Amino acid sequence: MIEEASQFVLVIVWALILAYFLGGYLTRLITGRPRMFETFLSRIERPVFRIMGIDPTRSMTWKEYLFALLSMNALVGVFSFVVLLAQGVLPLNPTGVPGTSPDLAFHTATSFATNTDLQHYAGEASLSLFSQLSLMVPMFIAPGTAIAAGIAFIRALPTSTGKIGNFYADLTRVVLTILLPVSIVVAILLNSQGVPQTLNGLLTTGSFEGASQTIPIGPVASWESIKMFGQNGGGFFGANSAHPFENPNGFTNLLEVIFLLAVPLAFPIAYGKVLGRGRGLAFLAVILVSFFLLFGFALLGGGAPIGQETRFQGFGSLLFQQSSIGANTGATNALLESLSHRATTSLFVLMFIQAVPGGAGAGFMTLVIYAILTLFLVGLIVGKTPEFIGIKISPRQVRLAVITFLVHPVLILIPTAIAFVYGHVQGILGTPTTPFGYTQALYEFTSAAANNGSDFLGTLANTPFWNIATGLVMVLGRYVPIGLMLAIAGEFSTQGARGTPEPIRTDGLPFTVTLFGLTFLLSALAFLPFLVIGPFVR
Amino acid sequence: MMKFLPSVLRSIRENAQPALRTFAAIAVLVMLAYPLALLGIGQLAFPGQSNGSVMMCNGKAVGSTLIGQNVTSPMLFHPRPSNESASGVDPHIRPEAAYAQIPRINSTTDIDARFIRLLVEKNLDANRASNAGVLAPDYVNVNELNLDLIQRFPEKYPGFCA
Repeated sequence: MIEEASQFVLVIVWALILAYFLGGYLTRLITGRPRMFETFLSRIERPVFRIMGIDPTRSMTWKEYLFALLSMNALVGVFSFVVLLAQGVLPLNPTGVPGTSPDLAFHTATSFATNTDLQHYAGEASLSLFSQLSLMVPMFIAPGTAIAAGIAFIRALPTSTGKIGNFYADLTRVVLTILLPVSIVVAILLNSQGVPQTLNGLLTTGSFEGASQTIPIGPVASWESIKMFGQNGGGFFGANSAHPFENPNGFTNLLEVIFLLAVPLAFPIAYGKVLGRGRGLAFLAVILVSFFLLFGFALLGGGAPIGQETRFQGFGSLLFQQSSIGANTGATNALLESLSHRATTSLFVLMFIQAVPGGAGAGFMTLVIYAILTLFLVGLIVGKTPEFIGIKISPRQVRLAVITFLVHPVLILIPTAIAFVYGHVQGILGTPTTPFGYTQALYEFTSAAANNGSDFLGTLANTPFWNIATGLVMVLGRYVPIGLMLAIAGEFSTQGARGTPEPIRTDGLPFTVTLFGLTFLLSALAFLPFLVIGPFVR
Repeated sequence: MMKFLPSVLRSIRENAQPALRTFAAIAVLVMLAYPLALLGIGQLAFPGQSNGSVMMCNGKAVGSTLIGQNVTSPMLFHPRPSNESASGVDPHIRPEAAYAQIPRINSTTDIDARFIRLLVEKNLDANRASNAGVLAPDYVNVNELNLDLIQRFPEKYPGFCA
């Protein structure tokens, strides 16, 4: 009991401490006010911007920003796709693996570019070291993209110029001054605990009983830190954070959880610093209360030791899973099959909502969408014009928010139905279809649409249908909402919010409770029937 | 559509240069400089951990401390069956599972059961310490335990670590 309580408190307190400082830093990036060590930082950034040919002061409209974001992400996707196809002839291929199939290359490239990291392969079996190192590029740029979009979103609220910042400058600053330095520190900490960092692909040794063993190994520490801190979640090894080389002990287990929560929790703090502390606290409260309640619900279900690692067991596994899936990281340190039906339900709900806390930047913007929908609905009920941060919400913004919300169920439910109708679920899981089989298929598309990355199917789903279907869902689930949310931000950016109290205030307890309630209600209305016939039965 | 197309083409032209250059700069930084810097730090500061925590036994490398081995001898501690955990390769078992194996090891090697128990407890304490007491449940590392046994009682384990 003391053990569990200490783990929980340590994770929450440290994640909030880190989020507080990161939130302060994000605020500086949003407002452009001098950062700590500004002279030093700009001295590093200036030559980098010169090489890139970027004028960081040239601010973009939301359309320009979105187009730059999409161009960069397309490049990243094409790069990973080509590397995976060609890994057989590229250097650093100690185990001599051939290039992957085109559909697996498409799936993996889209998966990493969209910050999902759904994996239909096991890294140690199917990827060369060169491919593993190449995936570092999406693992930095994908979270960098979402953080940049989140920054631009908040920046758009108080401005009236119609300009929301320079995407290339935002991305570069996020990678250079947040993701890289923190990842280096976390990697060194993980490394000290036994996470390997070598360019050898295989460790060949004897054994106690005279047999010989070949153990896959590699630059795991540099992978693992950005995997968690950037909410990527894809494993260097197929076993992900259950593998002792990715997560050797209880200390690294909590370290990984703390760092994956840090940036997502920093966003409401940054928002509060820019637009009023009360508003930030309201969002933070919704996130934390939802997270605690769902974790409590999952804990009630218990769990089975089969499928869990002895060094984490029930609580350490559940805390990791809940945080990782809540923050749309998708890393796992136990088999999802080992979870109770309550815990599985809780993970589904986290991925349906996508915003408690959700991935860095993306989760925060999704929460604003819920806030806009809440203000609109409450406005209808009490008969007041809905305003957000002192700006009237336009009918177009409400429409865009509704579409953003509806994209998610559409991307989950229609592909799941197609997969059943055309026998693709039965093709990999056999017939007859059980409630558990249905749960696994629903989970796969939910995880893809939420850009989460955790899954039941794993290498079983390495078929052309599953690779292409989930690949497309990941792409749409990533860029359609980001585009719609930047469009909403673009409209705010021309009006110059003064942050004055709205007719329906967006700070304080009444709004917090309403937002919390409606977030759950809307998700329940969209998804409850589909949970009832899946994880509820199990 | 006809109105839309020229503006898209213009945007692509405008973004090609900065996107490519930004991509290239970040790619060099994160796929070369970053892992290589950590490689340097790791190989200097934590060479053992960086290379897979290899166990040395009678001058021979006998596997990684962190990766379970398929032990069949009744004279050694056995890990969990590999399909019972999530990774399938973890060398950790619960303390009860270690205590339960003591009589077997005692009867096959004649090493004092109380002493074997002491070794188990020593390993348990070391793991507790590295997890600051509360960060993980109690567990025993079978590899470390077996290494300890073989090195302390070479006469009881002829042919091991060969």
